[in-house]
Amino acid sequence: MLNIIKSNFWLQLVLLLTIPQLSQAQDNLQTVQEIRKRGELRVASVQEPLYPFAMLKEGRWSGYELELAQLVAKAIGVKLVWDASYPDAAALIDALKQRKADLVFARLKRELGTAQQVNYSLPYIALDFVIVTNRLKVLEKKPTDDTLLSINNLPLHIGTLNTPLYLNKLSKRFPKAKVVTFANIASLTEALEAGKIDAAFCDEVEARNIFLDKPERGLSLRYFALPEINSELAAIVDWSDTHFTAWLNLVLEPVAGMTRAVELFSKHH
Amino acid sequence: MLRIFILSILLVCAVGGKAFGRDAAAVSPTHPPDIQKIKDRGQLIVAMLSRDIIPAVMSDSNGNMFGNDVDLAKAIAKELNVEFIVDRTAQTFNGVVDVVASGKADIGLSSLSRTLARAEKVRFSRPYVVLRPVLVMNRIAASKYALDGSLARMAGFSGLIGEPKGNSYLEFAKTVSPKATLTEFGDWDETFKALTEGRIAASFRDEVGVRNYLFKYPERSVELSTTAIDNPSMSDGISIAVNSQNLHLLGFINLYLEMNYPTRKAEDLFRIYAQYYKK
Repeated sequence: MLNIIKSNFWLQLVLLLTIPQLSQAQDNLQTVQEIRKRGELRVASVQEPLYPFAMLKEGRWSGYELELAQLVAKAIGVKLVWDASYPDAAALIDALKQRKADLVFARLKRELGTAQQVNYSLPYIALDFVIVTNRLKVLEKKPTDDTLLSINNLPLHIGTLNTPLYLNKLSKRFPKAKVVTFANIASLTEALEAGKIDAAFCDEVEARNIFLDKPERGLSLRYFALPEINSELAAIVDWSDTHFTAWLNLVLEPVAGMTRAVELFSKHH
Repeated sequence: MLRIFILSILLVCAVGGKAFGRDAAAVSPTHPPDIQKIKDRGQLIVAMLSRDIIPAVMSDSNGNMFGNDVDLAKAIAKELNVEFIVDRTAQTFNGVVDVVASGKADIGLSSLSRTLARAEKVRFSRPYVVLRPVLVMNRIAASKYALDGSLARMAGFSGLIGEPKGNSYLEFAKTVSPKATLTEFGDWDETFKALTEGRIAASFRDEVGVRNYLFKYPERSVELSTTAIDNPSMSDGISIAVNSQNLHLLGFINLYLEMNYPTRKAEDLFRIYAQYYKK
């Protein structure tokens, strides 16, 4: 056999070209076995806790995404290592590419920019978008009544997170709005409370947390559901792990899309 | 020579970094190879039929293309941040599939129906348009064979059914009317001409195709009768053909359709493109 290889230049060339590809294919098939061999599933997430997905209490993480990650770890038969040391989505994608994490659970909304770089799992929950208004600021604009219908036509300054997904949905739903962008929900909430903007556009979990943190905000702020606009959260896996993605989807299939945000709030509260 | 070969293997392993198991140092490229190839080229090459089809692929007098499928392909190219380039060398629907399968185009759109034969060559996206099949009958032949437009009658029909060669409705006709004799024609115009003249008794076609034909030849509705088949399991899913190697591109397109493109029906197309159905 060795002699055949030695004497055939073209065979050598073919082997040289195909070995890396074969090993790549093998990687895809072996991801679950590798995790099992390692004895731990490395799940990456963001530093910032968000109720009820991932909460930090007395140094321990808990929440719905932890439960899902535990489900995956249990299916493989390994322990879960939850690494919430990443600042944002870009760092999480990088962690997958650097092979520092096997998958990411970080309430990431499916969007087309990220889909060009990673594989999304089945969505595990769909979140509606909402608009939270500053009652006084909206009254200053003299709406005809206090319904969402009248707000639609007001030239409001609406704040939202600086992501293509949020900006796209906001501009489609409120074409007359003057859009103001914020880096995070904390700064968006602060601006809304201070009356620097008239309203905030965010998802229902982010909005519920605004009121959960300080229930007295209900006196100055008002919550309008926008059930016609929603977005789905999914785990992400590196694009090369196609087989692992299919396997992960089988694990998530029984729970995918079966829970609503309101149920999570009542369960974890 | 053997030494060079072994050294080469080691070099490839070192460069590839993952030949014998994944390690922490092995970094995955930013984009999957199929998407990276399109981004490097700066163009999404889209195979489309050489002739126009209302309302999917149309051109104005200056050659500017528009229509349901053209707009969708342009939107996908825009989302990938690349230029939309069209390859219109295909003369037939199967030809569009062949251009995609050959790798000359990344994707193919031209009101393409999914068929098992085509699926052996390319992957199909989720349907972006769903059409009802229509049974078109010659009125005299229908009366002669007591065809009432029902599938039950067509199941036992042993006369002549005509379809264009290489068309998706050939497979459909074989399934619905297994006892019938199938005659193949060059294209739809030839098929429906034979139907009008009574040389064949029936033909199956999608509802947009039938409407387009009767729009072109309104007088033929005297000889022809039409019955839409309202069975969801028989509906004609119009999809994007993707080269079978481009799995990540396929995933991206499916997500695009899911997020931005509610599946359209014939009545949606007739409403949106109503102006092109006016004489």
